[in-house]
Amino acid sequence: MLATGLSIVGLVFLIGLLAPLLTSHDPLAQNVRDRLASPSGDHWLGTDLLGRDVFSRLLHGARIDVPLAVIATLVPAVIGVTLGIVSGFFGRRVDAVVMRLADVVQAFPVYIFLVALVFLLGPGARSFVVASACISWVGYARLVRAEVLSLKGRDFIVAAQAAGIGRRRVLGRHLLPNVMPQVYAYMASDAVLALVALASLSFLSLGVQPPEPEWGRMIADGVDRIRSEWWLSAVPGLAIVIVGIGFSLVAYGFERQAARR
Amino acid sequence: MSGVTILEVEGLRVATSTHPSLELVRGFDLQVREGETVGLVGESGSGKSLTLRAICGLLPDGVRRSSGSAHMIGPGGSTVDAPTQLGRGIAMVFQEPMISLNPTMRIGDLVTIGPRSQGLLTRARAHERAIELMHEVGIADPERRSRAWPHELSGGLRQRVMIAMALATEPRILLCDEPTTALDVSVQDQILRLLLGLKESRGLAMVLVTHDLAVVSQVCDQIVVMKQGHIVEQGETDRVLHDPTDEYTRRLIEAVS
Repeated sequence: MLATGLSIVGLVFLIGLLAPLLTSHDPLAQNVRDRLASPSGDHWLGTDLLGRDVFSRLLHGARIDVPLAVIATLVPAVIGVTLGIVSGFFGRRVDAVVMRLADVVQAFPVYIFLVALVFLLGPGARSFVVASACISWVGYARLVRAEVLSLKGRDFIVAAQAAGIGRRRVLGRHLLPNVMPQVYAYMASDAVLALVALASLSFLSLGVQPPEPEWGRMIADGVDRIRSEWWLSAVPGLAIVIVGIGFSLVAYGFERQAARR
Repeated sequence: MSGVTILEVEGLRVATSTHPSLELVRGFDLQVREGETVGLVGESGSGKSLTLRAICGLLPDGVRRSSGSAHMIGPGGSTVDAPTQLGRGIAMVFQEPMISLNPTMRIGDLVTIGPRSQGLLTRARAHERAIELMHEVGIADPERRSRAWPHELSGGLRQRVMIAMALATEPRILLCDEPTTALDVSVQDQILRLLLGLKESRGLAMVLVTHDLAVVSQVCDQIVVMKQGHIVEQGETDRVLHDPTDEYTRRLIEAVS
């Protein structure tokens, strides 16, 4: 499960990295005379409304969507795990503040909050990452806090303390390794959401800006021609689905690993 | 039993953090001399384990020591607060070996976590020391077992690992919280004999929490009987067993004989 998922995501990422070598057209080069061409030997997936090569744009899109989804997962994960540990382990006032803040964030529907934040920060990839960080940390913080709270009273943690180990070391060597498998599983499933969120925002012109070949933007560009040149939207959509399935498999794999302990 | 006092507990009280008037241990006094074994007995909920944890400062969240003191007394007569000596003179063995070992660490690494985290043992020397300790607590084939994960060992072996972990900190006193309760009867006897042997070979003092009076009568020099957070009887084993002054103690003794 884990291996399959990682291979799918890794392969797509690699294709993105090697995109300049794998494609013969510039993903940004317009050729209005050759617009909306059907798939052919020269343009494997045809051309879009501005005559850009769709195959080339699809592959270059992997350089945008996959890394951004990963970054928009990592940043909130680091923030959330840190806050969750502090909250769960040291408790009291910090815990109260962090958890009330989490309540506030969770009180808003995710997408409305995301769109509002990005609108406020100005469209673009950076805003997307910042907005994700502001919202997604909550899940990690809650998960880690709950895990730490339940582990903290467990005998092996107390036994470690009984051996004369300081609080900080108990945290690092005994608590964290038992919390992280769950965090990895959550991160992988969160990456699916980040991927879709990025595509959705770009679809709404709030994410990655044109002319960059971002998949959500490509779907939006093709919507008007869905009855004739359906592949313009379908192909980037399929790419999102494939990467999404990859991340889901990774999540599932981590989950099973965590459950086995 | 002669010898100098190494642990002195006076007027120890434990209460919940939220309701300070709700006392779970209401005044506990104890002196443990060098090499002495003290049996702490009483029914479930009498406060035995809590007392033990209060002595070494390992109380769970929500309860705290509300008054009283627990001191370790050094060779020169110097006194230090007992909880600061955890892993440096006081060690503890827990009831449930099944859940008292970190599942993400190999046995060999677990045994020496105490001295290693205090910087008393280098990584290179740690493995050697782990093997020595595992040998001392009677684990056969320690080299192979040191590479095992906790879930691969039986309950009895895990309890031996717990004891090795405690010994690694070179304690003068071992606090044992029902060390045999969770084990099979045949294994109970082995572990008890191991603890007794260590007491002899290392000159360890021991506080043994148990509800098994038969065990206490065999191994303890001193008995403390607790009920509902109080000490109801305290004294030398022979005296307490043959001439109990408290009605509750009498009933406890009758229950096993």
